[in-house]
Order: sequence, then structure tokens, then C-alpha cells
Amino acid sequence: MRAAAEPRAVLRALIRLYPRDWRKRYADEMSAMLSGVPLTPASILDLVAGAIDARVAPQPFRGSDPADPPDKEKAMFTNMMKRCSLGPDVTPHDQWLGSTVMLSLTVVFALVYVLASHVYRGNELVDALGIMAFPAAMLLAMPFTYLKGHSRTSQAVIVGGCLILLIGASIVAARI
Amino acid sequence: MRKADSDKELDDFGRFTEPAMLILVSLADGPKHGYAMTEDIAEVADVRLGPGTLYGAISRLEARGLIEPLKSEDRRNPYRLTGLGEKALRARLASLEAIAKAAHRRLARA
Repeated sequence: MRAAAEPRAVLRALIRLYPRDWRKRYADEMSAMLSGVPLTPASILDLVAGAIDARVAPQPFRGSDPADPPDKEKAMFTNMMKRCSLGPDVTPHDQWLGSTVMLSLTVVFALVYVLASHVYRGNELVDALGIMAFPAAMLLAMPFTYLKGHSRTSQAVIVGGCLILLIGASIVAARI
Repeated sequence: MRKADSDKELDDFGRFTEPAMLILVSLADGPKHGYAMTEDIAEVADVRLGPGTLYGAISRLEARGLIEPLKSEDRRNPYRLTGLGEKALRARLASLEAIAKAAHRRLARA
């Protein structure tokens, strides 16, 4: 019973990564579709990638309810276009902060990599994770620049999700 | 080669272009819900769409009015192709057929 409940809890947690509007529209049918289907590592990664996409490129929902006001949809689309055309409101201070975080984390990750490769000599996973150190530092600096103005949840999902994908890619690379 | 306007509907789908096309093909013979689409696409195209990819493509198709949800008693919402979706699918298939014919002609000459 417990074994069956755990994958459902994982699925609920994964669906919570999606934005609220998206969940309101698709969560029920996605849960129904996945009920009784085993959650594989590939489908978990696909759901994480889908959640990142839903937050980075939100779609204007038409909804199945004909009472949905079309103006609301237009306003949402207009807001999206505005955000795309104007970009994030990044000040020189934010750029400085973002660059500092990125460079500091790159140095920290490089030192961790040197230490780990000394301790776990010849370990391919350590080498693969080492290559991912710079993109990981870039991702962790994004809340100060590209992701500025997004909600903390969106920032956590986008950065956390991308980090999970990087770690997944490292594990795959180490096994090839 | 100049694209017909109705063939441009899927142009800005990025990595969702192929899944969206497969969903349109799957809905061409009648409404289906997510699980039925996944199984149908696996059978027809030998591609199993992940849940995130499937709903990423469904949300784009629905937002552009190429598919629409039907009322359902249970949680598994079926979708059907709209007139615009059918037009886009026909245009994309015609474009692919033209490319395939050109490729066959060239291979025959080689």
C-alpha cells in the first residue's frame, strides 16, 4: 500500500512544479493519465522539463469553459509580450551581483571538483559533474538577472529543474 | 519553396513541433484523451511521448485553436481536432509529401 502511495506522492510533487493556472487546467487529466502507469526516470525528467517550459513559456489558456472571458486571455498575452519585449528590469547592481555569484560559485565548484577528483580518482561521474560546474554556476546566478521579477517558486522550479536535468545528463554521460 | 499560411501554424512550436504534429495525426480519426493519444502515437509512429512533452504540445495546440477539449464526465478530458487544426495538418502533410517526392526524385537520379 505504502509502495503504491509513494509514486503518487512523487507525481503530486512533480505536478506542483507547474504554475497554478496550468495546474488548474491540466493537473487533473495528467494525474488521471498517469494513474496506474509506473513513473520512470525518463518520465520524471520529462515532467521536470515540462514544468520549466510551462513557467518559461506560459500559454494563454482557452479553457473548456465557454464562460472564460476572452479579455482576460488578451491581457495575459499582452503582459507576456510586454515582458518579452522589455526583458527583465536588470540594474547595474543586479548585473554586478549576478556576475559575482556566477564567478564565486564557479571557483567554489572548481575547488570541489579538484578535491573530489583527488579523492575519487578516475571516477567518471565526478568528471561529468565537473564539466557541468560552469553551467550550474550560471543557472544559480539567473535569479539576479534573467529571472529577476519572477516569483520565488518560478525561480526555484526553473533553477532547481535545470540543475536536476544537468545532474541527470552527468549521470547518463558517466554511464555511456 | 513558399509555405502556405496554414502550414505556418506549427512554426513557432520549437521542440514541440513534432509532438504537436503527431497529436494532430492522432486526433485525425476522432477525439482522444491523453493516454489514448500516447498509445496511438506509439503504435503509429513508434514514438512514446513523455507526459511533460505531451501536455506542452497540447497546451500550445489548444492556445492556437488547433484542438479543443470536449466535455467529459471523468477526469480524462478528450480532445478533438478543430477546423483550423485539420487545415494545418493537411497543409503540413502536403508540405512533407512535396519534400518526400523531391527527395525520391533526387535519389533516383543519383
